[in-house]
Amino acid sequence: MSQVKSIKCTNCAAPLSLIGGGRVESITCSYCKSVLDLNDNYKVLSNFKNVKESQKLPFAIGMVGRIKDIDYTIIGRVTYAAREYPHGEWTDFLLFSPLYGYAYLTYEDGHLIYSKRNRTFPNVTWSELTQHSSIGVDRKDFTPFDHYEAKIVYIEGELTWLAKRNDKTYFVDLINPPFGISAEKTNSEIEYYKSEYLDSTTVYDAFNIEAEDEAKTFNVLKPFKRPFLKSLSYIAFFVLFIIALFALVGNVDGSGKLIKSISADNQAVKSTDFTVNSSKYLVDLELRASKAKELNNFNLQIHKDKNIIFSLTPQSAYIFNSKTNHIEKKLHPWDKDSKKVRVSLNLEELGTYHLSIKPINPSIKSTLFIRINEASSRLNYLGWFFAFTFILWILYKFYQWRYKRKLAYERGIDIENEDLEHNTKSGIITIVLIIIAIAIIIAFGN
Amino acid sequence: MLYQNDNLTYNCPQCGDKLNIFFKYSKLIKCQSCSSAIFLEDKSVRLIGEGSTLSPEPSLIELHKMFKLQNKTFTALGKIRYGYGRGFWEEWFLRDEKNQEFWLSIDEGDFVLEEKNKLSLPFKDFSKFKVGSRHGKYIVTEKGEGTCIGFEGELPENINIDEKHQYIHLSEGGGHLVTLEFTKNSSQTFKGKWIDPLDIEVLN
Repeated sequence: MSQVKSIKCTNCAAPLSLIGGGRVESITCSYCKSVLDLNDNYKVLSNFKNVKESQKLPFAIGMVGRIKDIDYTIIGRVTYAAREYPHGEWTDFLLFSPLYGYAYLTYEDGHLIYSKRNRTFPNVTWSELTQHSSIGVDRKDFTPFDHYEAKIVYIEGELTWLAKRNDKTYFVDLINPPFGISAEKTNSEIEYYKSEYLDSTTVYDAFNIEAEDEAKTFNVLKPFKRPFLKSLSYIAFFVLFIIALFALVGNVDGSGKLIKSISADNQAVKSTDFTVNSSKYLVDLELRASKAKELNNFNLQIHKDKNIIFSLTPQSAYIFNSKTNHIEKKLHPWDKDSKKVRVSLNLEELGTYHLSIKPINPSIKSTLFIRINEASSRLNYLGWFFAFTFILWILYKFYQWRYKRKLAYERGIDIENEDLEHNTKSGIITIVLIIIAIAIIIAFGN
Repeated sequence: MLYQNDNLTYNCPQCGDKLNIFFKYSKLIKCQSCSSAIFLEDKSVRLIGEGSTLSPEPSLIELHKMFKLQNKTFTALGKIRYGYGRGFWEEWFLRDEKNQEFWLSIDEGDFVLEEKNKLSLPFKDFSKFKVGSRHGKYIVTEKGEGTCIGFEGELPENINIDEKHQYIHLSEGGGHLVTLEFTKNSSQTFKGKWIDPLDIEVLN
């Protein structure tokens, strides 16, 4: 209710005003700091007169401000200290709106969090809360982050429950930054509050008070600013992949152009010239016979300006240095059972080449068909592309893993945490995959 | 447009003024001229006492005004106020565009939209329900009681001013709940959902 009721402190007789609606159960006298029970004839529950405040707070009871388009009045505050974090205190300011009821504005080391009672939390028992990897509330998954016990160290103003000094509350925090769920258990009940990290400047403006410096410390609900490169990588990687794939498959013609088609037989040596007009990709020699025995009955050589540059026999294949005439590289011979062989050569110089085909055993009746294509690409060009893409993906995953690890470290997750162990395994797997990828690249290169 | 019962015309037995009735199944109405509480019988009206005047309090919902919620348009036809010590809660009697009845409970910013339900109860003793206890898929999350202070508008049932009214919330999880309501002589079951007041769009 919005009406003001006047009462007197039963300890010091100072006038007190109730502004916080019908759910208010206790009020602290602003003069003698006695906490009075409104349900029991204003009986004194505890006293905070000799308690020194360790926090300097920007908000005070009676202040009015607008949060989430709701006009609130600060009607009370509770300061907690967690047993596990002895140096960390936080203060919950109780807000009241006659239309929208109660909410909390939590101040912790400069961070501001707005919370409102949540009624849509699933029916989960207290002990089950921390056992779930995540809990869905209002179409969002919240991850259990921390559980701790806290005690009340200071109270002021009106509260909707009976609170005394050193009263204990158990908390389980679930997070999905900037949102969170705080499960709070006292001796009498369990309540759930849905929280949201607020921009402090906006809140200070809303309450028309001087803004504090931005909080420098870490807060679990404060959303991390996504690194620019990370954001870019999400889109850029896939866009680049698709563009590159289209460029390779669609715009670059690697199907080859027939520049010579001849046949040779066991009767005589066959010689012919062919002219290479394109330096793009490779020159393909396709050798074909009706039987493997016939294919194996020929030697083949290619000369450029009377210098041998390539020699092919059923047992061996050599690439020569055209200037020194020395063997530059030995290639694997073809399979003896093949009836068709394809040789791809990187003929860097344009111009006329001389091809000679010599039968090995003239008595074996054999015919060889030769087709020469220029500007022909090979499938392993795509293989390279995919290998390159794979490495980029691995690097991206590695970067993502490092980012998560950094996040986990900064948020104070125990290094023994199972999730982190899982992440560590993922990291090792990632590194192994990188090594495999490098090995594949080297193998391809050879 | 608000429904108006044109077939039957009722006049206030206290002041004689015409009673504007917006729901044909209404049983109780407050005269808008003299605030008398009038019980509507088949074809007659019966004065059951002087109605108390409720103090005006800020509220999102206003009598005879429409609002949208969950893709439905509701009209507030009446409300009952229950007091509990220093505070109160209100039960708003609503009608949607299909003329179905709903109840909207508003208690200091907590909103529950419910419909009457015929759920069978394991027992009908208020004291046997303990907060935190489980009954099938339901968990008892709240128990409370209040006293009927008064009403406004029109209601589909008679009420007794100053009568004690007990309620129990049984949570089904995910915001769904069943509310059991007990008076001295009756009990009722409602089923519905907690709603976010920010989802209410008041229509002019």
